[in-house]
Amino acid sequence: MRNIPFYQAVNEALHQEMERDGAIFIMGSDIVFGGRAGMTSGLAERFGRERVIDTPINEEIFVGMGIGAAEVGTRPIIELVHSTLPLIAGIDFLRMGVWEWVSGAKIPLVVRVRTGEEVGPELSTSLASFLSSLRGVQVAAPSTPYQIKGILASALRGDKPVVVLENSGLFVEKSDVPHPPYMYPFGKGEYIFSGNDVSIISYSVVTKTVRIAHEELVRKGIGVDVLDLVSLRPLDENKILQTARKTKKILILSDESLSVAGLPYKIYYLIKEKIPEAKIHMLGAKEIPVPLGPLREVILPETQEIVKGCMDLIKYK
Amino acid sequence: MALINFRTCFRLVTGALSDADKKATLKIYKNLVLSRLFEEKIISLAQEGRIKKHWIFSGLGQEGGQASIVSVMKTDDWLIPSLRSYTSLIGKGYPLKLIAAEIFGKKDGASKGLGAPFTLHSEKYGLARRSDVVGVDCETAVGIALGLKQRKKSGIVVNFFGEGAATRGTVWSSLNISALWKLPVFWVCENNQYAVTTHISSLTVEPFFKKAESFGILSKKVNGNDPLEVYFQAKGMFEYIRRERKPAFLDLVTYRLMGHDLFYVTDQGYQNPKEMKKWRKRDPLRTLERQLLFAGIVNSEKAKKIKTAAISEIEQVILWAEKQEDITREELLKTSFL
Repeated sequence: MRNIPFYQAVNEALHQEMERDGAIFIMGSDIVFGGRAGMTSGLAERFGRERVIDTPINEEIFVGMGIGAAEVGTRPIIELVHSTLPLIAGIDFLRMGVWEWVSGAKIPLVVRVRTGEEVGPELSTSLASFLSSLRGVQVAAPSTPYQIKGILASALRGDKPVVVLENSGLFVEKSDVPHPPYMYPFGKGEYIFSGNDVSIISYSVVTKTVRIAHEELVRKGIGVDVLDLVSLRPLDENKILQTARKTKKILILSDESLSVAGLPYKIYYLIKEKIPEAKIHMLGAKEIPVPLGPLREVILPETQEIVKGCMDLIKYK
Repeated sequence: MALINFRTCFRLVTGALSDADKKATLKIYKNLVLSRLFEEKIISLAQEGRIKKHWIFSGLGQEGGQASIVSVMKTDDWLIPSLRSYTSLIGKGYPLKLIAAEIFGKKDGASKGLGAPFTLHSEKYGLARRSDVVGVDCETAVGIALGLKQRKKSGIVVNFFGEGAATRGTVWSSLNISALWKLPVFWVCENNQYAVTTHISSLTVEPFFKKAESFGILSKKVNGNDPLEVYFQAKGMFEYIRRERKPAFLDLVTYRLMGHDLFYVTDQGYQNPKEMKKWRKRDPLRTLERQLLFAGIVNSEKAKKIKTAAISEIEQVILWAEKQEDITREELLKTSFL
């Protein structure tokens, strides 16, 4: 088993899947020269410019084009390079989810969205809740190279429209990744750590911070169950309820501000409905637009906030 | 614009119509007769309250161009149908009874009773769903053409959209990419001069075909109410698209004689009565009929037979469609998905 970074896992998945299935093609801004963090490097050389397509800056039509291309038997991968670009194509994100229902055509369309970039509030704001509220669209926000490689394989072998959120803060993070292709299914969360005192439910780049917070909590002698959601739609309801039943003290984390985001509330309700006695705290992004530059990390739940969140929960009897 | 333009007259007078052209024009005529009578029937049924779906956009008097263009299409070409009339669907070979069943909201209808007849996908007939959202079908069209290119298929894509849609940025983004990537799309702007109640003079300074031309797209303007002229123009442009694998744009100038739709914006106070009278005289079906009679492609007896056959087909189809089962509440609930 090799230990490889996130961006390389993406690149490997794209190479292997495009090799496997000639119906797959990829389009987006600047992908021929290698794309962001080299995720698409080598694809144009291997598969040619017909299947690896640089586009003009027209995100407003890419997903609609993907719908059309999928209707005639191809499997388009569309790359959007900023978190908020789905809004410029908002109606197409809605359309891709209902297109099969309304027309009968299968739409195996994969939209990869780079999130968490350091480019200010207009481009870098997380849309996890918006995207996971779209009917008929599967959404994944993996946090490890192992997860992303398997999620992309699942997406490219399924017949549903899919959005994969790839957070810049994770691009150089490493994990063990098998070289042969494998699938990581949608709707499946992953336990990162196991413990009996308190549960943390998290996804994407926030899980990276959770790993650091976890070390500190372990030093304090606290057992933490950490569930990484991986799939935001469908949610792994079984694992969410399983960890909630185990500790009955749950900290739900999000990369969106809680005043606007629906996803943490959905998880909250899911737990409360089945386990009314559960104590739940939520921690999201601060109520400040995302600043330009490295200070953006301050916006997301920080290590000490996560530690404190768990300590507060543990006080409940 | 003349009732019949010079070129068309010349073709008729000199008999410069090949057998294939004669066959094609007869097909166009039959389609126009059938779709005209069918639409008139649907409108009267809607006015009687026998149709519950509020999604009928009349194309009476502007359907000539559709019939001509679709007649040039092959089976493996893909059509994104027009919003107005059923002419383009009928012309692509889609069964009239399934169109009727959809209008009545029956579960065996084109869109299973859940949409409009033009919101289906059918590989068999080369039909792609027309979106409910104006101006985004061009994205689908570019995507289909790109997909066909990827799959090394020879088909081309025909996308009908109105001049109202043509002010959307998505349309021009799509046109640009079609030119840039050499995609075989026939862009047809059915320019009926009114975007709901707004006249084209309030939409754009330059005519749309000029804008399309500026993207490097072969672009023409045609009298959309002269089916023969549209046929010859479309035939030439189809040959160009097939040969060059590049897009082409046709500004089909026509006129909307009915209100925007049959239920919500029916009033026509914004249209000048003189203007309407002028365009009524340019009815494409009557124009074509006169042309075909003149060229001896049909005689009055044959024309009558075609109409009688159409009337009887429509009667049967409506009778059948009305008897089909409605999609029920329970069936709708069963369609629930992720």
